[in-house]
Amino acid sequence: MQIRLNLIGGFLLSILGTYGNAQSLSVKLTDGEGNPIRDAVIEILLPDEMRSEYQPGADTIVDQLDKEFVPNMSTIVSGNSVSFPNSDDILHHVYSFSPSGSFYIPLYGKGTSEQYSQAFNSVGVIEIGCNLHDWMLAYIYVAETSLSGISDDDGLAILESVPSGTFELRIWHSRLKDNDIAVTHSIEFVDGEQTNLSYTLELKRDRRIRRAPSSNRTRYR
Amino acid sequence: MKYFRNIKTAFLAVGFLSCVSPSNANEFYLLNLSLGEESNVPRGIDDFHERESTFVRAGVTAGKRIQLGINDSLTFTGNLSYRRFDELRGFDRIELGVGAGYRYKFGFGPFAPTANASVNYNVENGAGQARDTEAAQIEFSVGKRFQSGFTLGVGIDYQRNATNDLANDPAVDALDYDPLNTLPNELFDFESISAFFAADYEFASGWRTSLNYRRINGFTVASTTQPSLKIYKISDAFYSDPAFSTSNSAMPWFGYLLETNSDQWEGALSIPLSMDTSIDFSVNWTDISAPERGNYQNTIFAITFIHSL
Repeated sequence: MQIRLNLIGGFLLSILGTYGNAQSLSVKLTDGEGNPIRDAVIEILLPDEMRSEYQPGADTIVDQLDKEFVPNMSTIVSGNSVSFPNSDDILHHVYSFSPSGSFYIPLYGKGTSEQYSQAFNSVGVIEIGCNLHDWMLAYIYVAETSLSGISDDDGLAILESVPSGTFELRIWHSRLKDNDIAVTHSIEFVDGEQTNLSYTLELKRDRRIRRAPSSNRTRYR
Repeated sequence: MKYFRNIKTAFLAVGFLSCVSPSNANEFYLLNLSLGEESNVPRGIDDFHERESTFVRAGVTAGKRIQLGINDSLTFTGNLSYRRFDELRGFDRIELGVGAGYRYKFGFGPFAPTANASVNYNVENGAGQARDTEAAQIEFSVGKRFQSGFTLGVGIDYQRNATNDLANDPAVDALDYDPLNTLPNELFDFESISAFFAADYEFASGWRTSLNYRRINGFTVASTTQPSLKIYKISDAFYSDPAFSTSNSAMPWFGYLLETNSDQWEGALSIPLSMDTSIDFSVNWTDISAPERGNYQNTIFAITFIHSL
């Protein structure tokens, strides 16, 4: 796995022995050609004694709309739940084999799914699928604390309320060379300073199950 | 011999198509439009009898998928299509069909193996009764998608073609080959079995290449302008070919039914244009072997536009 760290203006390093006031962190993620990377997760890994200050997070929703998961990338804090409503007029069958949260929800349709939520108590990445529509795919990143975020269309992920100090910054994307492994960096956050970082990630090509139809000739003469 | 009642099938298919509403996403529509060329439309045995033609084909398939349980589903389909040949208008035909398919998935996820069983029933109407046919087909297959991007499938099927009883053909009677042992008139009255193998590879870009092979043990309807006692004696049916009677052919053409074994290969490249639209390029090559007659070849090139509603 290769990753190149670029520090840009405004990123100041200092050594602080104690945790100070809250700062903000902005991370710009691009691929090798300079294109912004969306749906990457950044997370600040806090020491055990600090985690309780950044828990619990909020429950979230992953909808099923037009035979796709919406959104297809989410973060929650360990212990929180994700509900999976079905906004389509058809049945869906949500499941995951991921070690951090293996589960499945039986077939259900629109309007009957409000109660279908799943708690995730182990940190890690949950890969979600629909057993009826093989192309449907979503990821839920279960973080240690609420200090996690997802990069937007511009490849920008922003975290507010980051305490000052030296912490590990974890970066994860579903198409990292080995998507079980996240990239981590030790970053120092300086009291009162905004931290701006820029990283280049090497990603695998997106290999999704194809949804588009193709001709299927079964008869012959 | 009349095995099927095509009028009932037609009503059933039309009724199915009309009752399916696109507002309900459990139901689906698939539109396709093809432009192609077929090298040997009448299945001629030699260069003289081979006739090529470009064609266009437009079709719509409507379906309804019913999820029976976590692992199995039932899909009903109705389809209507029209094929028009530019140079050989006598081979134009309209097809109407219904089908039902059962699919069982052994586990969860896109890589779980599947077993499929389907029955289909099609009615084809063309230039004349001798080429009108009804076909019932039952098929069993298994498939498996692999993480490498490959999907493999194998299966078998049985197809039964039937057609309406035809009146004696004066043109055949005039040949006077064997008045005491006349052949049946119904060209499209036969059965076939086939086994097939399909391999797809899906690139990360979404492009899909596929290779299909099918071995067919059954029959072939071929046409000739040079009828002979030899052909008559090895045929299972013999009749004037109505496909040519409508195309100002200078010579009368006769259709004859032969027992054959066929090897059919098809390669295709499917390019997604959007989430619900694709364009496919395909070539289909068939080598038909008639033990006492020789080999017939046919090649079909096609470009197909497919849109899912």
